[in-house]
Amino acid sequence: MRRWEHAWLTGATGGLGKSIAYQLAREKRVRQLTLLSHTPGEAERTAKDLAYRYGIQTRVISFNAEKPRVKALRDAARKDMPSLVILTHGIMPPEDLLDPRLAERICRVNTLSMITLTSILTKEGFKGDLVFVSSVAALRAKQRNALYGMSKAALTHYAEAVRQYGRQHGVHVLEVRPGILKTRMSEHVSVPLKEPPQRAARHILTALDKRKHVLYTPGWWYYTMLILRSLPARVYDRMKL
Amino acid sequence: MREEVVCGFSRSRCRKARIIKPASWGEAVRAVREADVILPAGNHYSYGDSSLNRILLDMRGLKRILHWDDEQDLLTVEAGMTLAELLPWLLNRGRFYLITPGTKGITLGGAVASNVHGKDHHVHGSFIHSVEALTILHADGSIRTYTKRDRAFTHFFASYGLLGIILTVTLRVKRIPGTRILAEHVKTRNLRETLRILYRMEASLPYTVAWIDTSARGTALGRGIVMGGRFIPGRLPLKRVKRVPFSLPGWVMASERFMRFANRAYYALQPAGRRVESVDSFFYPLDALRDWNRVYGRGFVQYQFSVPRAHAEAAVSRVIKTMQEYHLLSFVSVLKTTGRERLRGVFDFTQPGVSFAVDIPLTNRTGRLVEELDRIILKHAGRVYLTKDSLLTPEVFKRMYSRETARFKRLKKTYDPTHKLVSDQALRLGLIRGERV
Repeated sequence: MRRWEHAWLTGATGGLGKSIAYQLAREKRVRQLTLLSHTPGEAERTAKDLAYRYGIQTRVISFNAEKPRVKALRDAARKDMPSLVILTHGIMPPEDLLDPRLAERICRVNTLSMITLTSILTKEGFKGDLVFVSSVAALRAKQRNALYGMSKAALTHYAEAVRQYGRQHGVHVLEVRPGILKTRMSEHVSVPLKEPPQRAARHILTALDKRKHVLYTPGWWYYTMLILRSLPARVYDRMKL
Repeated sequence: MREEVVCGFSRSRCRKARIIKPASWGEAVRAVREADVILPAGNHYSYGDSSLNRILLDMRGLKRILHWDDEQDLLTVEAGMTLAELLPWLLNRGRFYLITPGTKGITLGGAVASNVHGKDHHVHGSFIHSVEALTILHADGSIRTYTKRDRAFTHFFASYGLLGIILTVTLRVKRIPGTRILAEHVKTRNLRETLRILYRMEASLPYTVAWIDTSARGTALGRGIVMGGRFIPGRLPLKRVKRVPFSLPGWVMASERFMRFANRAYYALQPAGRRVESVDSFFYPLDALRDWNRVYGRGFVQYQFSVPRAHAEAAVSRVIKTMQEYHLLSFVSVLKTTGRERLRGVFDFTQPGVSFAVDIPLTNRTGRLVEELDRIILKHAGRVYLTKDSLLTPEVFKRMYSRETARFKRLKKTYDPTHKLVSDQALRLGLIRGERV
């Protein structure tokens, strides 16, 4: 089991992020955990709980993914550089394919903010593990959540490039492609077989232990996506998913 | 949001409810702002319908430890934490609840909303005396913190979530020398002796309670086992719970013959004298069987009341006799002395005297028996505990709690003028006007 001195985690008040935070703390995988959150009050309560329950050091940085404050983040990174960064934040609002404003907002939160964080960290000399939480929706578009899928597709693309960059610069990238998790985000999506976030969190930490590059969670999504991706457009477009 | 059938702990009252389970304060605030009616709910350990409503705000997702002051022994926790979940954490630090009821299944928010009491009521009083501050989410969506010095502090105790939603509780905990309890068990021959020994033990031991054999008649009426205890140094681990995997058919516990046998067997087999017990076996004996309420099958009614000390013997013996006349016996029958209290919640049932609790299996005679018991209690200036009630009528309730009801209505106007916080029990008792939907 790998351990880290200091970790940054975004989206720690949400389903997956929270599960990862508790798992990291419970297994004492980190000595210090910094939560980046757009609701600092709420994150502060989670941080206190982690500290009192598991005796790790916790801290909260205010982080609005729509408008990240670059300077504050850079100062924080300079002062106390993490060796593990897990980016789990994201939004999946009910969509309208033809709404450019919504498209911009989704891209800002799901993609651009991750790029901003990555660039700040690597410029300050970050070395260690970097986890992007993308989605299986990145791999093939569907009208219902096209904008979300687009933002995640861009992220997947970006993560792959960072992985290549990281080879020479001591950064290991794990790109996670979860299926549908049983969290607040997918509350309005009614499908069976939602994965509990605790299990996804465990998979992610195990994948870090094994230094994997890409993780599907649950694993059967790999085969599902393999099939879906190989379907010709005229078949795929008519499928009701 | 999901729709589910929820029941009170005695499974005599069930209903369909929409359940909202907030994972953050923001979500809780939003739910309260958007709802037309809502009721906070914990682990549904209140017996009747005091935690039932059309829309429930399930607080169990909010259970973080927010502050711990190791020198002052003060602990701030979110209200969805159950006593059981917090217990190992406390024991590891050599601390224990200043006041704990006979189950650890309840949430802290529920403990406040019912202003629960425990085996040490004669020393410390009800749960309110172990709380230093509360954070309340009001019906209008605002959040405020109240400390013991605020006049409004007491309004949220024993008001069953009808005046505000409890978000955090700051507890005063106590230091204990170890996790073992030196317990003393005394077998008594009749009610007079039971009460005498209870009163005697009260003077020397912080924890006292008596179990009553409700099958005994005549000169042995009210015999039982008086238990007292105190913490002593040394450690004993917490136990793992067993589950009751099925519901017994209703007639088993309703059969007088079986209950007589069970009562007699317990009385005969429990050894008297001193012995060392664990926190679990001494404070939470019933929790050892998870879902023990299922043995009643169809459900049961728990009846708990308090009467002034002068009426203790007359009221308790009359209640036991009446149960015997109806051929309905109770197995978990608990007699406890209650003391004077400095702070009072809104619908506190305790008064200096005794409290007596019995389980009555649900049959077609149960309703009539409970009516009869209500009459007896009223005659003895007694009051029924609302957390356990599911059958009280508005008329009887008004006679038991007339001053409290008037005060509650005034407070309701201040805190929740639109009557957003509603429970089935409040509607049944006429505390809030409206129809149960």
